[in-house]
Amino acid sequence: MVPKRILILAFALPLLIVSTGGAQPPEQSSEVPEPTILGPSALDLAASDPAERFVAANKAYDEGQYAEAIDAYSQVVAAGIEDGRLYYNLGNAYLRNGELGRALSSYRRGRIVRPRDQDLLANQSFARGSAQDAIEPPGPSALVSTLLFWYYALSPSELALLLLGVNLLFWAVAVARIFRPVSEALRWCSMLIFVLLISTGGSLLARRWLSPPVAVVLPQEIDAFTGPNLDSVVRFKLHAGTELRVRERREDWIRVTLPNGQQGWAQSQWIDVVD
Amino acid sequence: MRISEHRRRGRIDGLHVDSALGRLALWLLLLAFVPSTLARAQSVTATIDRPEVSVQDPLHLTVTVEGSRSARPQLPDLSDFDVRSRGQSTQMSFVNGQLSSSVKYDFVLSPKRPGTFSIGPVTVEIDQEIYSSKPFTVRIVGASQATRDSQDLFITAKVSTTNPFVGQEVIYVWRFYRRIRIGDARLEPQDFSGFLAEDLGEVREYRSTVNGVQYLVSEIRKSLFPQEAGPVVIPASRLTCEVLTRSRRRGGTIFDEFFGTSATDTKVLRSRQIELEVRTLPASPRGFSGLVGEFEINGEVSQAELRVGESTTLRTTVRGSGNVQMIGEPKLPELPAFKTYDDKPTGAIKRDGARLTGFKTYSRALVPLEVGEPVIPPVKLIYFDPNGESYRTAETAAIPLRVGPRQGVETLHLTEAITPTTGKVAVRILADDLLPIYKGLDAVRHRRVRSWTVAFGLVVPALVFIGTFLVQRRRNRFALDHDLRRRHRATKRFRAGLKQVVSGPVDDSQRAQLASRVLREYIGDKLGVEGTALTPEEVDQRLREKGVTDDLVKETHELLVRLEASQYGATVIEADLLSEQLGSLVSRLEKQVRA
Repeated sequence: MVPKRILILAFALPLLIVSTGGAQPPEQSSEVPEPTILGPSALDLAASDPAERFVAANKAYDEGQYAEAIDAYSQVVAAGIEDGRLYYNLGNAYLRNGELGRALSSYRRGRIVRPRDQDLLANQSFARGSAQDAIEPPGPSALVSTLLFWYYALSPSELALLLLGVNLLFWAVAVARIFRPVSEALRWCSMLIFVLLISTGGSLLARRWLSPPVAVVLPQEIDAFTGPNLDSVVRFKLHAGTELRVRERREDWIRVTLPNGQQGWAQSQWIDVVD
Repeated sequence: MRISEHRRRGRIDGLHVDSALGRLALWLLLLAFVPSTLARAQSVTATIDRPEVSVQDPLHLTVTVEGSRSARPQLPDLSDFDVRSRGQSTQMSFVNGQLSSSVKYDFVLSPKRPGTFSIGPVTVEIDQEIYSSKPFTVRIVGASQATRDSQDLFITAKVSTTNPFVGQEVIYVWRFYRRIRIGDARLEPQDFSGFLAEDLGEVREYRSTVNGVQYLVSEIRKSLFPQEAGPVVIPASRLTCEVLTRSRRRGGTIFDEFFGTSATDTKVLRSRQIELEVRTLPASPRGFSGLVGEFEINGEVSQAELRVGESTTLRTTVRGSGNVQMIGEPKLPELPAFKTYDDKPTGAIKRDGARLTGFKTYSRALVPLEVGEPVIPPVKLIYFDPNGESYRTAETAAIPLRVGPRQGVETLHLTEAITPTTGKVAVRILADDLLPIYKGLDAVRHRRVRSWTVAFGLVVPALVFIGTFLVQRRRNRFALDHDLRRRHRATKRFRAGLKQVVSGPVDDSQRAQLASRVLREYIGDKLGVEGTALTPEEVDQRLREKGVTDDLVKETHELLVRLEASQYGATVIEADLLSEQLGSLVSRLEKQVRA
């Protein structure tokens, strides 16, 4: 029979994941990146089908109407479509429209959903080249990303699917052990699968709790204050496209951290937070 | 009469108070009854400190609510102003024997634009009644209407041209003039959407005289490069600062009278917004470099005389002012007589001058392959000159070289020079750009994975395991425990026997015999003994051991006795009645034996 402790852990894991929303891909800070222009579009964007909007957005992009393309891509995202290539196109449109900050936040969202997409990586690197501040974007070190390759190489959806597969395998072996309780091979097999189950489930939970959100600066230049009010001293200035760790969020303020540990408060209206 | 006057006299409403202690006691008594003696006259008034101000000066709006300390005033539409609260104060007065309280709310209104504005009534709700103040009108005059020499501080913003071409450098100069002390100056981030913006140096500070008045000036310069043709607006910049003032307060102490009282006044300064009409570039000639401004190109070699196999460096430098970030490598002509090796380009952009200037130098090592006097042809650079509004071509001079034979070695054969084992160079990236967008419709087919979907997938296998586990455990228990199997089958066997009792025998004695056997077997199955061998007395004892109530034991006993009697014709029991009695008895036994 399967040891009781393992069974209890296996039961607790899905409850923990579901209660913390860990299996769900990260939500956006403001659901949908705000389009630059929300007015009536020259294109026929009344189409309700996301595929039609996507095609219309591509057409607008090709014609150089980047604001309209941003509007249409954003509507597709708002319709619940979760695909890195959509964020990739949106990032391209933002960058062509001169909105470096929103472009970088779109690429970052895209890389969460498609972490192995080389095109996304290439355009993200290209866009980062235009950022003024010489600040290394937040991310794991090469050692960490190598050691935890499954964590950084898989999207939340892929991790969730892997978890479901391992979970199914674990319970299948557990059922088999009901009928073959004395099988040594099954015992080792279930232990191995249990470790996999904990690893994948733990990775999903870590996505939720251990990876702090990233703030992307939107305007050309903003002030970071010593405290969350405009009367405090300006500590440093940040420029469009700079990506920083978010340490704390209050109503209209966000506390950001530079790579050297220095911290400052920026008004949230100038920041796009990517969870 | 004010309360201070009463205090001086030491009497309030006919009471005569001699001592300070008595006055203190009277004050406490008075404060204790404040709510009950407050005058009930409710009203709201709104006043401003002056009816006409400059667009750069704030208005002070004071709202006084009488008769309530908790009611909050509702301000009218003030969309033409930035509204900031400066707090509130409560005042109490004692007039004609009536104590009244009022709350003053102070607001600072910073005008957004010049004009005459009607400000509607301020309303307040007290005891479910709405009170309104009188509306009033204020006039906001533009900054230009006030003579500049009378201004202590102002800001200006100018651009070098309002009709630039796409990519042309526009110098934006922002200046802050002041001749009084200020503090806590805050310039809101400026929006340069539609431009590529570059800072031209740090903030400069100097003194300047305007209309005979000397000011301290802070200056910010930026280079702006419009990215698209059409109308573009640089929004007005806004600067907020605190101005130190000295005011005299009536009724203050002697020190206040002598020194005055320091205070700060908030000033909001705005520059005018600047509208530009960006022009498209004329149709560009073939080979246009994308540079807009004034540029030149120079070429030189490190040595003009060399031998075959030696190298000389060709340096091509593009320098100028304008969109220097766009400087790319000019296209070099074909040089079939040389083997070429690229070097890393060098360059610099100077941002601390009056304009954005810079240069970039591209170096290439040339190794001649044959003896002769080859000439490096001119290198051309096509750029757009916004002053002349035309495309211009700059070019280097042709550079003659003299190549002698390799020293001490026979003349190099061409075939040897181009063998694949020599002179391999790394692929050089000429330009970089965004990769194109993705157009496949599969990009819009993936919806977000919901938590409940994952939860379902996680829980269902666990439930399947639990079900399988319970079923298997039950099977094992049944397989190992014969009595348990009998107990679980007792009711089922009884129901089958009861059907036979009702529909089977036509003879009453046989029916009674069958019914007696069915009942005894049921009891035997439930108690784990051979039921048909039990006497009614043994049944009584066994049932009592199982905790069955005396009434039910007695009823069971009587039925068994009657059934035995019926077997021998002593009594007759009808089939339906017998079935009903047996069914009722067994259902109650089922509950009590189980319990």
